[in-house]
Order: sequence, then C-alpha cells, then structure tokens
Amino acid sequence: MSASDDREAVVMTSAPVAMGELLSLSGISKSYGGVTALVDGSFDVRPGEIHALLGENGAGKSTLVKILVGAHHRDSGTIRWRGDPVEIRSFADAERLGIRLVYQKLNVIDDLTVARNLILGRERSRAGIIDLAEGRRRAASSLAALGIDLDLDARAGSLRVAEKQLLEIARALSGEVHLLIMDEPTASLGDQEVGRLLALVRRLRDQGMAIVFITHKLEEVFDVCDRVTVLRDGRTVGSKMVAETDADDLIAMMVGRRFGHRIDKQPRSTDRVVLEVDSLCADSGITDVSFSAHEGEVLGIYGLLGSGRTELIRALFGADPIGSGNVVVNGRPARFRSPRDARDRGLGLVPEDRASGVFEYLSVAKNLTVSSDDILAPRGWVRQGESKRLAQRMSDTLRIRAKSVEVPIWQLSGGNQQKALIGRWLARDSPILLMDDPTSGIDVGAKEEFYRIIDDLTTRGTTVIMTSSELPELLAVSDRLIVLREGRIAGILDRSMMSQERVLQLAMTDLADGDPRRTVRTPDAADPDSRGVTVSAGNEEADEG
Amino acid sequence: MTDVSETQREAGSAGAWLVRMLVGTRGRIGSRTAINLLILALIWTGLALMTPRFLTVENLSNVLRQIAPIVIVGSFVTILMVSRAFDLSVGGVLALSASTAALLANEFGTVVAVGGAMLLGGVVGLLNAGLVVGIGLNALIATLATMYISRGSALLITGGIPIYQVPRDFTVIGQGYAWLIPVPVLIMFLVVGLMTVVERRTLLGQYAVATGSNPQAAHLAGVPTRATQAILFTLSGAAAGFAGAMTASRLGSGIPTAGVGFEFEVIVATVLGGTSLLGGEGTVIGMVLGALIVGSVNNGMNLLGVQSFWQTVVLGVVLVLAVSLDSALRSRARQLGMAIVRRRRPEPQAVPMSDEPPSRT
Repeated sequence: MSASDDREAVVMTSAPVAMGELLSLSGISKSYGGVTALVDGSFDVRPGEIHALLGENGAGKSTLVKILVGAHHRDSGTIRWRGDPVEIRSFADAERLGIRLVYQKLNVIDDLTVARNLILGRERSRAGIIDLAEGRRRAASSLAALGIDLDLDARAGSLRVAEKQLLEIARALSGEVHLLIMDEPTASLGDQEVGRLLALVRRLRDQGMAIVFITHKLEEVFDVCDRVTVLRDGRTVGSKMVAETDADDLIAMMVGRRFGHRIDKQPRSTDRVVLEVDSLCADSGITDVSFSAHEGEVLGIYGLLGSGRTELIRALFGADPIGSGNVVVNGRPARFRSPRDARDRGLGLVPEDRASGVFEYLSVAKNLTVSSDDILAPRGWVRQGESKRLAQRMSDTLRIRAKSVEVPIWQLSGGNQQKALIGRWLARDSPILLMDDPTSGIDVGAKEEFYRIIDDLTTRGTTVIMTSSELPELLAVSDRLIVLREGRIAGILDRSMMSQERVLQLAMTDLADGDPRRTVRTPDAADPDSRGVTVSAGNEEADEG
Repeated sequence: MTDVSETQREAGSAGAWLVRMLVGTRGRIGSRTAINLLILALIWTGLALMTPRFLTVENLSNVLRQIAPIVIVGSFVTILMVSRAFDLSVGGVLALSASTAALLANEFGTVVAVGGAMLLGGVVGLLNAGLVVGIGLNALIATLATMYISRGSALLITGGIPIYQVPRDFTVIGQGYAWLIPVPVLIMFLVVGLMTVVERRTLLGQYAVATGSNPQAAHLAGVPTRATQAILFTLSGAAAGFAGAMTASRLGSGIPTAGVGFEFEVIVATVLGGTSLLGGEGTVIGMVLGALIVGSVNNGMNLLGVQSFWQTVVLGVVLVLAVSLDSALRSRARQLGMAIVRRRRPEPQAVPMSDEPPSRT
C-alpha cells in the first residue's frame, strides 16, 4: 500500500470508532542477524484504551514497538490500521498515521528552553529567522491543551526528570495523534511523579487516544490500564482485560518458559563467609543492601532494568563510590577506592557490557594477563615468557577457540571473548568473581560451556556473584538468589524457595500479600473513577528469609 | 607461518600482500612501520637520483642531527599518545628550558644546567598531569595553555634577549662528537633504544597501551590509568626540558624564542609513524621513521634549493598524503581481514540478545 493511501486513511477518520480496532498486529516476526527477537507478535489496540505490554527483558516488547514506529521493518506478519493493511517503513510513515513514541531515554535538549524544545524541528521562520514569538505561542497552547504546567522559558536542563518526561510527551503529541506508545515512562520517576504522569495518561485516554503502555510494574497495569498483552520469548502469550486478571495470573503468563539447558547443579557452597555486605548505600541508586556470600557459592542477583543490579556489582568492585555501609572481605573490612583495590583483595569483575571489558585490538594474551601485572611484573619489568605461558594456560583451561593467543581478540566470537574476561581473573586465582550478565549475547553452545566453567570455579572454592537478565538461567545456576527492586533487596531466596513466579513477584510488585489487587479484581475496581484514585506507593518489603 | 599461506589461498595474491602487511598476526602496528619504510625508501631513492649530495654519510648524519630533538621528545610523546593523552606544551618547554639551561650553565656549570632544564620540564609536565588527569581538563587545551605559559616565562626570565655566552663544556651535548657520531644523535639512539624497551617490556608501556585502547576496560581491569598518564606527562615534560638544554648547547646560546612549532613537528612525526590520535597503538620506532621522512624531505628540498616557503607547503602535502594513504590501505585491509576471519569461523558473530538491535555496519 502506498504512502498516499495511508494518508487518506488518516484523513478520512474523524472521531474514534466505538469498538473497532485502531491497530492490529498479527504474526509479526523479526530477527537480527540470526538471533530471533520476535517470532509471533500479535495484539490489537482500540481507540480510547490504555493497553499494557508486559514481558520479561528480551521478551520482544521493544522490537515490536520499533516495528510499529518504523525504526525496524518486520520480517513477516501483517499490520492493520483501522482494518486496512499498512506498511510502516519510516518514522515519517508512523507519524502520518498518527503514531507517536515516547522513548524510555529522554531526548530533551538541555540547552534549549522548554518552548524551543517543544517546537524543535517544526520551527517556522520568516526570512530564515525563526519566529520565536509564534513558536512560543504554539508551545504554550500545546502545553495548555494537555494541562501541563511548565515554565516555557526555563532551560530544559533545569527541569526535573519527571518534568522532562512531561515535556517529552508534549513534544510527541504534536499534530494529529491517535496512538501514543510509552516505553517504561515511569522507570525513573518517584511515586508522586508517577501519579501525575498516570493522571495525564488517563486524560489522554478519555480524549479518545489509544495508549500502549510498556511497564515492568504490575501495580501500574492495575492502576491505569484497560487491557494487557503479555509477550514471552518473542511470542504473544495472550491478551486480557485487566479487570479479569490478577498479578499471579499475569506472572504465570510471563514465565512458563522452560530453561533450555540441562544443569545438574551440585551445591559447592561451604559455610565459610567470604564477603559480607552490611547496609550498603550508593549514590548510583543502591539503598540499604545487606547480604553475605559463601565460599564456593553461586549467588545470583536478579532484578529488572533499573533495579540497581549493575550498580550493586559496580559498587562492590570499587568502580562506583560507596556512600555508606560496610563491606567485609574474608573477615577484614574493605573500602575500595578503585577496581585496583578490589582486585588486590581478591575480587574480579566481568562487566555488564563486553565492550567495557575487552581490549578489542589487543591480543587474547594481553587481554588474559592485563590484571595480573603484579604477578607477571613484580618490579615493573614484564616477564615475557611467564606471561605467555600464563595466557596459554588460561586459554587451554577455558578452551578459548582462537588460532593463537596472539591474535587480536576482536577476531573471537562473543562467547570466547567472554571466556577471556573470566580467564583474566582466573589467571590470578581471584576467589570472588563478580559477573554482570555474563551470558548476554553469547550463543547456546557457549552458554553450556559457561555453566561448566562456573561449576569448575565453584568446585575450586571460588565464589561467583552473578546477575543475568534471563531468570531461568539464574534459577538453574544459583545456590541462593537475591532479588533487587528499585535499588533495595526485595528478597533473598534459597534454592528450595526459588521459582520464577516467586522471583517475579518480588521483582515486579511491592504489593503485600493481603493487597486486594493481588487477587481477582472486583467489578468496582474496574470502574474508571475508582481506578483513578490510588497510586500504589507501598513501601512494604516482601522479605524472604 | 600457516597464517600467510592460508591468507594467500583465500584472498588472492594482491589482497594477501596487503593483509600480511597491514593486519599481520599481531595486530596492525608492525604493518604501518612497513609502509613507512617503503615511503622512506622511495623518498631516499628519489632524492638520491635528483642530487648526488643527498646520499652521503655527512648529509645523512646532518638529517639525524636535525631530527634528534624531535625524536628524543617524540619517544616520550608517542607513549603518552598511546595512552590517549596529548602534549602540545613541549615547544614552550623547550624554549623555557633552553633559556634556563643557558643561565644555569653560566652560573653553576653544565651538569646543573642540564639537570635544571629537565627538572623544570618535569615540573611543567607534572602541571599538565594535574590539569588533565587531576582536574580533567581537555589535554589539547590544557597543554596549549601551558605551552603559552612556558613560552611567556622564557621571555620573562631572559627579558626577551638571547643569552649568548655559554661555557665551552656546555656545548658538548649539542655540538660534540663521540667516535665520529654527533652527541645528539648518540643520545637519540640511546633514548629510542630505552623507550622501545619501556614500551615493550615494562608495565608502564603495557599500562599505556591498555589505557589508550579502552580506558574504561583498563580501569575495570585494575590498571592504574591515571597514574600512568600522569607519569607519562611528567616524563615527556622532562624530555622536552632536556631537548631545550640540547638546543641551547647546539646554538651556543639560550634563545627564548627557540622551538616555535616544535610541538607540531613532534606530533607530525608521531602521527606519521602510526600512532593513533585515539590512543592504543603506536610505536617509538614508527615515530622515528616518521621523523626521518619529514627530516629527509626537508633536507632534500634544501639541497635542491627549493624556496623555504614552498618547503612548508610541501610538508603539509606530505602529511596529508601519508595519512590518507594509510587510512585507505588500513580500512581495505580490515575488510579483507574480517572477510577471512568470517570465512574461517562459520559461527555467527555474537549479537546482543537484549531488545537493542545490533548496530548495522
């Protein structure tokens, strides 16, 4: 279908059709260079509804959204807009249809005023000079229409995050908008600010706009959403009316994934405590975290995006400053001012992003030995022979597949690069290994090997503290599992207590067990008015042993 | 080596030659040196054909003497740039320490003069380190500022007037000979040898490479990235101080306006020698070849009687040609290298499993 037809489709419509679908997706698939992100993405959106899109990290939500706004093109499947098939090949196509996206990451330009941000890219000029007065008037009227109160002349950089978010929404809502997609809009907001944002979302819905609301917070689904679609492993599991479901039901839909690897997990943990963390706080977003780790233990850390799992790992390794609290390593207090300090006390880190771990252009050998300088060059002179032997030994132990340890590491596959990052710490027998999502972006075979390596390490008494965005993996490898939520510990589960449902409940909701919203919803809860009142701000921590 | 035969089989002879030259088995640095040797050979052949006076022992020894201060300072600046830092202050430091050395030589003798010049240079280097590593200023701007400060200080302490008289023994390091070799050239060889060992065999060299190739990874791997850069700044300042003393010695006077443009000569030699402005790669030997190319072109044009204004223009052209040739060859080689690697290793490149799409290349 051509672009002009699309435009016609938009122009022809006036008021939203009562029950007809505005948008429907069926059988959408998408893969990126061999990795499948979406197998069968299907859902539909009606005018005047808030539709939640739920799913674990990597379930395919963002891919679906990117296809909707024309950032990526689907491999197969159909998109219908008001019943007619459409092609969305670019942002411009999406915009013509009346689809807008508010990104999770804010794109406000700090150095411009609120008004200039609002008219950015749509400035009108007279003889090449931007008509600022006219732009300011337009900006004022668009804010007024949304009931947003912001100082038009304030520098955007001086706004709080929540205000920037509102500005971003206002900017997205220029022109004729029928469908607004919001990608985790509340991720970085405080409770009160969430309330304001949700009120705005409701107002937009009441004006007839359709809203797709991506979130990780279940209580928001119950607070503002009318329908919910759950994605899992790139497939739509199902869509339900929010009034007809509850938290347990949704979580059950989100999990159900079986772990693809067979692991005969042997407990290697001893009673000896090697790391104790007491009331750790850090400006990076860690609040009052306490736990301990044992020799030979695999201690998993699970949390959704923004839960602070990377920040916790970085703070433990001295990469981010610690605000308050105590860390004790092997019975001696530790206050690391740099990763080097942490290294000297026996810690090692495999960072979240492989790019901030490997030296792409340096040899595999250099990558393996870079952290063992104190062993290989005690007086500043590098012992070449010993260095080479150590690198070779690590490469053999971990079965790193490279033509030789002298090739630059960029030639290796992701899994083998990751092995080299582990080897870097194995080379100096670091007894405590922190690994931040170590299996992300490596293929299935490499994962199997990785689990074997973990088992070998723990057999030797190494303590492994690891995060993963894949919960089934963490459940399979961990002796105990810490669940983080908004920078705090939501629970620490023993192996016998672990289940996907339990972990997700801890990670996603702060609803106490007695909260009515956890059970099947009563009819009056579905009433828009009563639904609009509460914004969950519970601070109760569901703590588990 | 198996690599070579495999490469030849897979990419054809011309491509294989390029890959061998540019990718090699150990990365990309040795290759740049090979290209520079080729360029240098071409220049020398050309000049030798154009004038019989070029390829004589005496003339080549002149070329070496001219590039000695550049190479001495460049040896340190190269490693500094490998660590992803930058030093524009060396010209100003050279002027300041040349004047200071001349003053000190008259008062306290040669040893104090040379030591004082190096100490002074080291202090400016430490200041650079404080500004860049400590406060976090941009290295380009910070060292530009200290270049002006030291150049101005040279004028201040001399009142703008050259110090013409220096003791005779002070002139040895700039004008003397040791077994028929000019002393500056001898010192140059010593420094190059020393710094080659430093870059290959010492932690300082390894730290510089790690820091420059990926500062964040280096930090997380426990490399003392800040200390590394601070030490290298200080050393390159001290080297510039020594070069100042040597210049004063060669001229037999402390000229406060000496070394104008010296910082750029050093950087040209370094960059021409294959040091990346983004850090992580570069060798002292490469820088020596870069300096030799520039020195030979200058010397040849002098011999041929090319007007000096033209010489400056030609120098600019040579720089552009050399660097663009390199970047063209290198990107081609990288493509070939990648193709070979891909064919050899059928498993797909890792793609992030997250919602983020892989970058499209």
